[in-house]
Amino acid sequence: MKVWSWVVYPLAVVVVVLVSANILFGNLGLWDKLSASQTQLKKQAEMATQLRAKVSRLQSADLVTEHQNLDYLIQILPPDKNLPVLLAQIQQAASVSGAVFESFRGKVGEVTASQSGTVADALQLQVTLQITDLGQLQRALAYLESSLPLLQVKQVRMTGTRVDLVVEGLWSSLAHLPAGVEYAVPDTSADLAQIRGQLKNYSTLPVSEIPSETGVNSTPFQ
Amino acid sequence: MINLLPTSAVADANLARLKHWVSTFTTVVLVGYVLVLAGLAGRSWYLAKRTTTVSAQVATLTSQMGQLAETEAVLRQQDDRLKSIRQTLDRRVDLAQTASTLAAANVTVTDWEYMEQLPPVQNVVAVGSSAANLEAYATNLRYKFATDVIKTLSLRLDGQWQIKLQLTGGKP
Repeated sequence: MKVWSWVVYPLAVVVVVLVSANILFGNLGLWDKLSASQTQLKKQAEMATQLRAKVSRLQSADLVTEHQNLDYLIQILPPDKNLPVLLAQIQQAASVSGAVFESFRGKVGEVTASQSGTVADALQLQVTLQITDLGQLQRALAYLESSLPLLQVKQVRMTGTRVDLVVEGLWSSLAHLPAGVEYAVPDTSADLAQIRGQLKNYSTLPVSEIPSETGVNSTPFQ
Repeated sequence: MINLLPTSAVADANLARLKHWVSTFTTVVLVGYVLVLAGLAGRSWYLAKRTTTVSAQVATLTSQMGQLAETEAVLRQQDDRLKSIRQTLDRRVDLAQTASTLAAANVTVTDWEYMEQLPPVQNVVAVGSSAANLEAYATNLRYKFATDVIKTLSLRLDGQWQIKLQLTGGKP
């Protein structure tokens, strides 16, 4: 028996290694836990990095200035249909060009917007102007196309001194933006400066021409 | 009586070498195993400690984000609106410029029709005292709008020449 006693040590080691390894990596799932906590840590670290970048970007922004910037953008592209303002823009265009604003008709549909903020309908008016020549129409179009809020002339039909225009007042509802760490805070300064530069010569309605919402039926059409 | 046990000196030496080798190998395996276990324990401890630290950082940053939520909303609304404005400006046709292009000396545009569609189509009626002027006018429009032109030239009862043009495609 004493002859085989030297085998006890390696056998004991083999047994200890196998049993402990089975317990640690099998029953207790140590390896799985280690992998899971490593993955968790990686995710947390990435989230911390994104959050740090977002916080840094947000802390560098001045809320008052950013509100003013957003107000400016809303002035360019309003969040809802504003028929009185569109009418006032058309009247102003006629007045500036010397044309006579004869009549208008249109349809204001239901305001529906998808979650992404895509506009599902439009504010369109069919306008009739009396003009003396093409130059007058050109001046009216020039005013309309450099007027804020933005609008789009979709159709022109000039027959002699009568012009029928289809004018669309552009608007875009405020988007439902999902919250989450993964959504980066965009740096809008360059785009904003570009838009400001591009629209610097655009005119807004004189204050006296901006219709008050009070007493105005904003949906006169059926 | 036959002795089956290895009694020779060579066999004893071989057995001693085998014992030594097995013992050394076992020790190496044991030490290696203990080292691996220690490494894993250390790694586990490090990960736990680091996770606690990073979680605390995330909690702090999330709290800061909550305080800055209004700023984030304003900036993201700005970005969304800027994209819409850019898209609108990019696709908008400058009709005032188009009207300006249609105007020409010696020619009076009496009718003009433009409809927003693809490809863009414009119908123009112009009158002038000379057929040559109207022909030149049509050629000029074709060049300026880079478009196809269908033209009909006629002489009116009042002695004026009239040209009807249909401009298809190109850029108004």
